[in-house]
Amino acid sequence: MSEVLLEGRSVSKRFGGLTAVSAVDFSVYKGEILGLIGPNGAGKTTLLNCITGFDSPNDGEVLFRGTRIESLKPHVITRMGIARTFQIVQPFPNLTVLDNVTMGALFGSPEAQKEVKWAHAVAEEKLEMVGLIDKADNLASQLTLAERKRLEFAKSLATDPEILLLDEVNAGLNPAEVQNAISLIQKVRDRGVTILIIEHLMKVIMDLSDRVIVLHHGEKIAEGVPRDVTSDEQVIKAYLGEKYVAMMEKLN
Amino acid sequence: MLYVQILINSILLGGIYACIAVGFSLVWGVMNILNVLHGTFLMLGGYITFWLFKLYGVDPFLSLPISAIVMFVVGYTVQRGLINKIVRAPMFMSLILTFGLQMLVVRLAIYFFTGDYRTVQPSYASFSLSYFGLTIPFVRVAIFVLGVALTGILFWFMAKTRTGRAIRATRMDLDSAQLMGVNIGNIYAITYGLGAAVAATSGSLVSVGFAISPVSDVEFLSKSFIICTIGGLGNISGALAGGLILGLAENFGALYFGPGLQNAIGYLLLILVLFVRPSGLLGRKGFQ
Amino acid sequence: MGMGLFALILMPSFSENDGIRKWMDILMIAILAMSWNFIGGLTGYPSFAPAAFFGLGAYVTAILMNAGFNFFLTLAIGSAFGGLIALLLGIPILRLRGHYFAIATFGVAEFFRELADNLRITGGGDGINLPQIVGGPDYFTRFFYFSMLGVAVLTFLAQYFVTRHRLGYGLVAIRENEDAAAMTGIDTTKYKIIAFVLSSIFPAMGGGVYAYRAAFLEPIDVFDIIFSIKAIVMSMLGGVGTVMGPLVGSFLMEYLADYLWSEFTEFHSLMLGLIIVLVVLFLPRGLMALFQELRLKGWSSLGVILRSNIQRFRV
Repeated sequence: MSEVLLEGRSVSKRFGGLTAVSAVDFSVYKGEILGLIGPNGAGKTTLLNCITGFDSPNDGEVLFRGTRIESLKPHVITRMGIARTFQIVQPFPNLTVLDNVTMGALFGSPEAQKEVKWAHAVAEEKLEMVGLIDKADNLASQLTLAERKRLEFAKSLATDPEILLLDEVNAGLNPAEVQNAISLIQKVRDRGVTILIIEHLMKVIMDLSDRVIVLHHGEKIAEGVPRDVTSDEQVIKAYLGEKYVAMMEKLN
Repeated sequence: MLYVQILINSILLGGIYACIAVGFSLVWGVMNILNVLHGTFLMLGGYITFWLFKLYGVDPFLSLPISAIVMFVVGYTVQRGLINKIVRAPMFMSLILTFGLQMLVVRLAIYFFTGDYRTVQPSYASFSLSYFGLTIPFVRVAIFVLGVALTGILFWFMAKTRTGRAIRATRMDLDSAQLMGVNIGNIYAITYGLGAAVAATSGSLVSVGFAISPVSDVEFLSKSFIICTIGGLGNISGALAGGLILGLAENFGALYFGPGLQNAIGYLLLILVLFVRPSGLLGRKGFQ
Repeated sequence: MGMGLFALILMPSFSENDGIRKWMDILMIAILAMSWNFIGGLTGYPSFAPAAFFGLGAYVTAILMNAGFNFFLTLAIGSAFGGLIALLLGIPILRLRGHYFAIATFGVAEFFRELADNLRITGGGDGINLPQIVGGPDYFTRFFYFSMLGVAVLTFLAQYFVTRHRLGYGLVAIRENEDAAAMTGIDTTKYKIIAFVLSSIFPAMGGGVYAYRAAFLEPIDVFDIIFSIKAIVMSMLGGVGTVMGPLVGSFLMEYLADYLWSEFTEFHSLMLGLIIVLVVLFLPRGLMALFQELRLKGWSSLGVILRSNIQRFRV
């Protein structure tokens, strides 16, 4: 079994009276693709926020390579090697595509070099990889949604991460674009990057994930290989509701 | 006894301050614009009253509605014609635009009105009430009462009338309001006009008790800034609270630190509040 | 750019004192505009503080020169002091965003003015005198012109290098999207403070030169918020966040203002106000951006561009 790269122990997050994440344990092993699924409002993005420093958990710990990171600031966490994309893409609108990605290289990589020229070169390489290189001089605000998602991807790759956290990268994409995204993610994994992916599309999860974790109402209700998880009764109940499950049982 | 006198002065002052600030709070809260012309509207309102009094002998308190209506029209036009163009731009653009307009207007005012300080002095100006060694100028009380009444009218308008509710809806959620059929351009213009009208009326009130000149607008503006920040944006009680606090701080501050630093106290409060609680004491989204 | 500098250096040999003085004023405003660019243009935090630091530098020079310090030394001390204050103030103030930040800086500028009005060390409302410079009018004008030019060159160089360097990239990222910038690995707090400090040291120096030349200071002269307003408008006119923008904007504006001043003394502020309104409505991204667009689309499209600019932010 390969080493545990990122793990969370009993992570909890409350907002006032609402418990968004409740005592979640998870481990991400080096080199794997871990899927994180669950109905809307299950706490997936909140968990991601706790990992990347945008929120701090009320209880529990998050460890990266054995070091506790839950109280560190976002930019420090990025420099340690954890990169993340946002559900609603966050480009730098009035900068060129190239400059957008350059930011990642310039500031996010562990051995962050001070040279702008070097960062440009890294940026170009990443743009090549995601297929945006011919749009390098366009303004980020001029890209289509699918292109912006790829830009976000390239930006996070430019920070040279060890683990990449993807938050619903496929929202709003058509099937062809989704297929592109899947192959891109696989390409990245083959290069040695560990991936944690939040997804709604079952097809993506089944195709990509080595393992899957399911959250519901902030709690982890299942964990395992995709096939097992998707046939788990609890999971089906969470997604489709108790009445549906009862109805299916009656029919069988 | 001294303390009580100062307390009373502070409350009277606070009421006026609240009145001055409430129009600013309205525009800021609903349209997210820092209206540098606010002080100018106050000043112009004061001048309307002054000239009506001086040329036609109109009692200042009777000229209030005239002041309000005239400036409402002015405000509405300015907003519809100019400010509406940049209402969705980065915030400092509206700041600079209104500042440019302010420069224009003040310059014209100095040209037409001259830079002298004016006060409206009706026959009852020197009348004051005296109890237990406390002096309470009649005019100040009148201003206070009317100022609070004005604030109350605005509150009623926002809470009970259809337009008022449309304004509040617009602030809370622009898109939903549009979907509900609210004509945003019109609402914004009305809001701005309202802000101008309230400012002008306050200015008219101020002209009776205090001295104004074309350059008073900066002082009015600064005080409004400070009051809205302290008391919180988005509601009338915020303006009242802020006004009262500023009134108290200035008067008691003058007692301990000398009159020269009165204005400095206001700015200091401003900065402190921004650190401790930027949304102000009673700040809330939307305007209630 | 080098040619421009060369021209500016040679200029005094060809003009009389009046002309030189005019250029000195232009340079002074340019310094303020370029400094504002650090915090307002690049980082996107609209600051009204240039006036505060300008006045600060002016008074430091005044007080220290009265105590016998060398003029240039006071400039150095003034800028260091300004930077220090910016650092101390910046830490809490930069936590605020947008409106609130702008108001806080406005409050600071006004607060400094009120302080200067009331403290004894600054001479209070009566003002403070400085030792007069020794020398005839020619020497006088040239000395101050070159001093101001020196400060302006420093400011420009600082601006130039920052925008090329990693720091500049980071600041722009903060302006575009502060949360994403943090996510990219930028220490936003540190960078914002650096920008704020940079925006304070050059106005302080400029203020010092102004003070020595004026030989007499009153709080309202140097802590006048109009300096901050002008700095912002110049930068807007030329192009917020660009290297040449504030410089171009200042030169143009001051030249125009000076012409108007001589022709229409009464209406100086009026014209300024009018220009401000026009710039905000028609040229929100400044002249540099306009020229770029014109170069791409041809001069005939001027009308179209101006009209689309005014439409961009409507409801």
